[in-house]
Amino acid sequence: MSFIDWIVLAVTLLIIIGYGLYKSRTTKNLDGYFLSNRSMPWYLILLSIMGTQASAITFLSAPGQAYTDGMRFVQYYFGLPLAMVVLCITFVPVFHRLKIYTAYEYLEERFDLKTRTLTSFLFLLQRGLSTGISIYAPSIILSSLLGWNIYWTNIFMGGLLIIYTVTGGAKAVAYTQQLQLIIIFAGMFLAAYMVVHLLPEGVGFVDALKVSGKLGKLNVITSGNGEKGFNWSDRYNIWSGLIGGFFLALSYFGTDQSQVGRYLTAKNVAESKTGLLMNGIVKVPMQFLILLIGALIFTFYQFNQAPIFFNQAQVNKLAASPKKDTLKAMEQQYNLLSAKKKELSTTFVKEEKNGGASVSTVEELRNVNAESEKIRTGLKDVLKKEVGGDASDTNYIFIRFVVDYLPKGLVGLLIAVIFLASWGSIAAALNSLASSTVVDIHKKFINTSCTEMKDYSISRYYSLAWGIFCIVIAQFANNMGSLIEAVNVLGSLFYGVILGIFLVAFYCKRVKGNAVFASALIVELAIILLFWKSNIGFLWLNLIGALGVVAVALIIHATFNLLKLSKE
Amino acid sequence: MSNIKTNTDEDVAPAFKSWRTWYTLVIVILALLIVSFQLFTKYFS
Repeated sequence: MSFIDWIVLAVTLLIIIGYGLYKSRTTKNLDGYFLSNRSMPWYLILLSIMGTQASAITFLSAPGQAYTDGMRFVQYYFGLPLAMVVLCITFVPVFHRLKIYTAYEYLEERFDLKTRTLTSFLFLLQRGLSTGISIYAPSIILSSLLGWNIYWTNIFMGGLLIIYTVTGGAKAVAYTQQLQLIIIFAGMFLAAYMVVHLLPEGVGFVDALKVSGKLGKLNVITSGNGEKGFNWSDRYNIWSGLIGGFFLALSYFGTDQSQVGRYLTAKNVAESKTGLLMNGIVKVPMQFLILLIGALIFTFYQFNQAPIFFNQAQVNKLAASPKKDTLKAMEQQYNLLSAKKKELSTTFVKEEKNGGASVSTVEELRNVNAESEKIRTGLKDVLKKEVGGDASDTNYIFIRFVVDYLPKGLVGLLIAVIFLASWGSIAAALNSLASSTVVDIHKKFINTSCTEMKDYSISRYYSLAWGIFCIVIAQFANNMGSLIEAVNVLGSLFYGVILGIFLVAFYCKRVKGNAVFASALIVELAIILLFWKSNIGFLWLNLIGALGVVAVALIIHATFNLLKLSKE
Repeated sequence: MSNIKTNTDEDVAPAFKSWRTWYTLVIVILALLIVSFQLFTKYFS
């Protein structure tokens, strides 16, 4: 990184920390610390919800995902708008009416203390681990690309935001997220502009889309149907997105305290609902545009030499191993194919401008790309056996492009974007982890008679403790492939069950605490076994978990009733 | 489902007469997006 990039990075980060501290200077009680005194307007709720969901992984992994697998990942978000509608009808009015701090408080009122504690425990486990990955994801990429020490990068990435999160709570989180998102969108827009700008002369935006589309990267809608009918292990298609994505979004926004805590900060129920519905409207187009950057980068590398593997640190390790000759041979073959790609892509664009590309050019271009991909897959196998570590480079594609091709200053801004995106979601997660620990565990089991001032200071200690815990998890995270998938897979293991508990609470009025508690335990075990032993697409786990808890709870409830009747 | 109709002082839908219009709008926009994406996929494939 150049000196100008360091200046841009340092100034941007310092502005955010200063702004967070300034905005939170009046927070002195539990309501202010966890819920911003319930004072936020809808547009801050919207930005806070978006900033919490969109972590650094979103901006790093998503373009890489489009580069390797095409844009079909956007279907994952199709269930989200529908979930926003259901949330506004069912969950939000109840949460506001009860004036709760955490979603799990409602479960004690509806069922009993053990169900509330089990649910908050599942949340704390899942959120604590995935926040660790959220710290690790951008750190490993930056450390590998810029040669920074991974342990110090983790500490830097997770540690700086602790300053304003611990001090300022929810208010600092919401206000910094607002500024963070403005900088993030500006950075991503500039990156997208630069990709198109750097294309060869005579190749415009639409030409780039045509190249990308013909090579299968603009596959936004896929049916999931294979030769043998519907493929249940296919991760992203319109059905898994609409149905599985709906249950995942319902669970994430309705029962994950890191999101519930955001819209509970609204000044009234209408502001919460408006923020959530606007999120439903803007989320899919936003994700589409981020993925489009990846598809454009793919086209860019049709005209320019792409690295054989985007994580250079891994390639360097292989170059120093006994397999260095294999690497050299692969690189030579790959470079020849890259030259061929450039030639064919130029011909394709010319032919398109003259009335349409010939079938033979398209076929040849596809074949050359398939051969390149075969070499990359072969290299990944060699890397896995010889070097170990991460054999997937999906997370490195976007940032490698940024560092290699963007001008000085912009590189610093884009690296700041990664820090800020990371901070936005980690800060909200720490705030929610602390609120659930204080409200659902500490005040219930450790000290039931805290004063308001004591509550406030304990909350700060818990925020700090969770921050340290997540940094420790980040130090141990490794070999997880696409990190955006890793976080979503981890969430899907627990979200379905948590959502199921809430669905029983809202819609099965006769079912009591014992039945839902037993059901949640049984189904959680079944979900973990199913994930471990089968190859099912992870989005379906949300549906199975949620409906499983409802079904098993109803069966247990009916069985108890029958036993009671037979005794009488 | 009764909450759809419940408009308390704090629960007034902005811009439209009721929340039901908001919910319909969100679903219609999603449907339009899916149709546009389908056309986009077909056009460029």
